[in-house]
Amino acid sequence: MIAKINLWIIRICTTIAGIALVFMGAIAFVDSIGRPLGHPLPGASEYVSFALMIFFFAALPVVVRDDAHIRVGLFSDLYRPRLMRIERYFTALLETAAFAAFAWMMFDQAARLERFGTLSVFFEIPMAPWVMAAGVFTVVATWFALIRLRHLDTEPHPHPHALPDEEDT
Amino acid sequence: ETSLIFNTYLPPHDELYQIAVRDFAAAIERESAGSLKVVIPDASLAPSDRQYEMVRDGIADMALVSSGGVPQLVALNRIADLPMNSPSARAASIALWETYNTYFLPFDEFKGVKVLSTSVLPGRQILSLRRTDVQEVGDMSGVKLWSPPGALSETVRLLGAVPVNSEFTDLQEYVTKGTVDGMVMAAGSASSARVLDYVTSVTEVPGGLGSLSFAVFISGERWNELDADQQAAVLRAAEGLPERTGAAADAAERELDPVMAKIPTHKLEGAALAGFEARLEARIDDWKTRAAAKGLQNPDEVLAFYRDVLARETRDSLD
Amino acid sequence: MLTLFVLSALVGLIAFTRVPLGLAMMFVGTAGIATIHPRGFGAALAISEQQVMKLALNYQFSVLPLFILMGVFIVKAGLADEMFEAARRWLGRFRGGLGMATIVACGGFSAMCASSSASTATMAKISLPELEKAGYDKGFAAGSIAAGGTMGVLIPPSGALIIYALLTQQSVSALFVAGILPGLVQVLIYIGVMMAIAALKPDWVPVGTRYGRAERWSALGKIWGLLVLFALIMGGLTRGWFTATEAGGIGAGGAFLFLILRRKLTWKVFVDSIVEAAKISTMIFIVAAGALVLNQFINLSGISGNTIRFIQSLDLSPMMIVICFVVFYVVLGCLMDGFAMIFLTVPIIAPIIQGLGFDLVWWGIVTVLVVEISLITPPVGLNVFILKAMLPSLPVQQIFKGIAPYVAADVLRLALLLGFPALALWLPSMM
Ligand code: NA
Ligand code: NA
Repeated sequence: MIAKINLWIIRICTTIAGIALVFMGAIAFVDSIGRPLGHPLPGASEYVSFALMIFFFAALPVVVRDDAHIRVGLFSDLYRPRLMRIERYFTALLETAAFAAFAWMMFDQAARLERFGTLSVFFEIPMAPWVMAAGVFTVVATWFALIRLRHLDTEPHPHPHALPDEEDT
Repeated sequence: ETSLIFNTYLPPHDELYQIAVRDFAAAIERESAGSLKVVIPDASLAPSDRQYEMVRDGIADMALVSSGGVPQLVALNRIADLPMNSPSARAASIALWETYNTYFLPFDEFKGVKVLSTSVLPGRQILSLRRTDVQEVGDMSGVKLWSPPGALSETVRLLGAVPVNSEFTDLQEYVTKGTVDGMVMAAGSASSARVLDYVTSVTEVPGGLGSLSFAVFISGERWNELDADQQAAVLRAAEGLPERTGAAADAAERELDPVMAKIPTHKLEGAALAGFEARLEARIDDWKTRAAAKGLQNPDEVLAFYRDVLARETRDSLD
Repeated sequence: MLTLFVLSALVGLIAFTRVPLGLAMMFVGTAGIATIHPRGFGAALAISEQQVMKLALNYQFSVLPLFILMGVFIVKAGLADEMFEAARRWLGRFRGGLGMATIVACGGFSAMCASSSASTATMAKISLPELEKAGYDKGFAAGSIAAGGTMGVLIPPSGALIIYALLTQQSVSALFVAGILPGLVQVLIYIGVMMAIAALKPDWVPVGTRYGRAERWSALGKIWGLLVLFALIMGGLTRGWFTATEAGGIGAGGAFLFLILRRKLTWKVFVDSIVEAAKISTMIFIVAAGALVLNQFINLSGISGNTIRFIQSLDLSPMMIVICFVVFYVVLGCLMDGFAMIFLTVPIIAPIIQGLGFDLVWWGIVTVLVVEISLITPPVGLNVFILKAMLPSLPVQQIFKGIAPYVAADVLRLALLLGFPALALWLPSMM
């Protein structure tokens, strides 16, 4: 049941990120054609800005689920199994806490922008709801970090860096 | 000793930075005889469009913000951004400061912060490229003009031209590759964006097509925490600051006079000027409507006051 | 002192645990700001939040996902394999020909891909089995791919150059165009390495197969579209037809067209590509956001200003200072991820370089060259780790041994670029 819900959450996030990405490309394309013809798209860069933010945050849960982080871990490969296990739990706990804090920060920022009534430069629309949306996606990412905590022992040895997907997955 | 963080997003070579930030900070330290220490971070602590929020958040204590950067709060100060209202940066800066203190202060537009000085840049003009040559308002039709987003873009549209916005860093590319036919900016900005060499003609509207105004401010909380002596010291240091920043901006502009003298310039007058004025009137009406909505009793009186100061100051500087 | 303590805490955290780099920088940075800012934790939080939002909303940063998407589409269209195949058919007859083909294919793919780890992983998947089958020394084969993959950050499009542009307020287009010639030089010098190894250690590199004229041309016929796309993007940037973001849109659109034309487009392929591009971009976003937060800590600590004043007091010649920085970078690059290094140091060093009267576009290329080196030098070499992950049985030392000749070649490249800035600046000056 939960697995099914998770799958749907990821699908929704992926769809939103995908739409944002395609939208960014399309806006850039339309503006670049229109400008020399005397019809620049007003506010093109602000459309792209908002799409970019939604794109990054919507993709955050996917990064967490697939463990696609850039990590350094200079010495952690040399640890003995016991220490390695401790390190894994320590890192995973810290990571989950960090995501929770990250989400909290986004809501905090949204509250500040709301309080100051901050508007965007071109369209002069309120910024707070957008940041709120970013916060919601970060909460979802935190949820997936929590889920990963349960599977730490069964996971294969983590790879040093996110690699492009294997063809067979 | 109280320490104040004075944030800036301006580059070190900018006159506004040199006078309104660096020198002002030094003056505060001097006037307070060391009881106030002003720290200017190496780089901006917040994006340029979040300076007000930054001070309200307590990240910095003092900063500089453009009136257009806080559209949710500031409408009245934009009187200085209107067409024909900045014949010189010095006169406009003084006029805005006096108008602010006489009429705008009770409206408390800059909520939660205390404004210490205002400054206005020299009026923006039309700098044309290649075959573009604007002699009357009809010549503006369909011309692609790079302009900052906001009020100036609105003005460009009103004149029948097409405003093109971009990051400042892209400007040179747009100019050299013919993406735009001209720019709405001052010679100084064009020079620092390395595009002045490409300008083939200038169309000058007296007082400019519009300008950009700024406010230097301190967090209200921090201000109230200062003791009476410290407050007095800050105010002494701020005395005459609008005039000094304006004069510095004008001086920087005048340094380019030898370059500008070689570029054909149309100083609009007579029927050609009237044609522009007729279109630009809408911008001024727009400001009046917004000001009235804010509760300003008689916008026309305020505008007249502002222009009287302009007239006084431009007359003085000619003597 | 406090600054040093905070920075050591960060290094300790990322060295002894595998906490994601971006999150580590973000939270150590926030904690650091809280300790030195008079308004403490509240101000630190507000600063960090604003930095994250500033990056997420940055129009210029949108080039990154678009170019990454382009690279993903190219791979899914099977064009990376065909680039390798074409290079192999043209160079196969020489001793070390398959190795040269790997280098050339790495260069070609780098022109389609913004990230060096993606180039490395992609090329490893394609060429490693072939090199092994042909009897190449395993360590040298892996080393060649790891080194060849570094071209991903130099040959445009380049994620590192995008981020450098962002941090130094330079034009992405100018930096991209500046990367073209040094990238070409890298391909040539690496081919030189392959030839030298063929002469000195013939048992490492066997002779390849000779292909007929028809086979060679037919292989090239399959990838001419890529050349057109690259020429369009770089030509458009040089001629100023479009901005870097728009070039990204056109690149991704063009690559998508290849996917359609080669009948490789299915719904699954499309979704997989989007997910992959989103993942790679966002993983870079997290690190970039963390770096911006950490930068604010460094900014507040006043290190950059103090360093500048210290360096000025030394009274060295500008070129001496530049060389000192480069040496510092190379040493730091041994220990650190190249991306992390850019994020950590560019805000401090770039203003100094500019103050000395050097061109920041040139310095961007120098920086990226050092990042390339950092990817393949021990002990922390990201590209080496990628190869190691794909060849679990091969000891890491073997890969580093295979890389050594390339590192030597890189030092030569670095010297060339320092001696002849025109190598980077000539093409952008034509813009
Ligand atoms: Na590349
Ligand atoms: Na390294």
